[in-house]
Amino acid sequence: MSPQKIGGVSAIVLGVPVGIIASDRELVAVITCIGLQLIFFAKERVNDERVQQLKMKAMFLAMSVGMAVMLVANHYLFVVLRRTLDSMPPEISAWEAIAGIMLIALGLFHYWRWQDGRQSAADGATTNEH
Amino acid sequence: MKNRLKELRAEKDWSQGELAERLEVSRQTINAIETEKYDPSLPLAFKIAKLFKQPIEEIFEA
Repeated sequence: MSPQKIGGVSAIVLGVPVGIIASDRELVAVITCIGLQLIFFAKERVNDERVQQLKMKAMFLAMSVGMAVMLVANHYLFVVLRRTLDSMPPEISAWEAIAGIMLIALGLFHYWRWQDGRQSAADGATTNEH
Repeated sequence: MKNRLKELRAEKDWSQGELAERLEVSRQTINAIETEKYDPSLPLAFKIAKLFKQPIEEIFEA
């Protein structure tokens, strides 16, 4: 694991519990966001063009899906729920939105990478089977 | 993009891993190119053409 990834994981593992204990939702969101960004943008062990393409594709899809989910979620929270609740429901902050997007991007990237690897193994990549 | 990478690799009796090593990419990248899930960049396409000593248009078909 690269130092950047270790830094990202450490930030999340150490920082998030601190934020939870302090009941600081914003702090949890900021630390998660920074940690996930460090992990996602770290250099991979094998960093060829396919990996870079998958990362870009994952980020693009995560941004689109994330924005759509945010719009729907905020609409539901503010417009629909507000009618039924006495007090204002908590809004989704920008930090939480970015953390969600980074999580989706990371998930997609690793899933596609796993698919590539699985396909490669299924095709008998390590032998001379053609 | 259609390509003859698998066929050319078979002629040389190379595995995907061996070809990946020669082209300095991952085995997954070679597999993605052969299964037409991924189109290589221009520098990589030139590298492939140089390795197999064939023009690019003989290997890749748009």
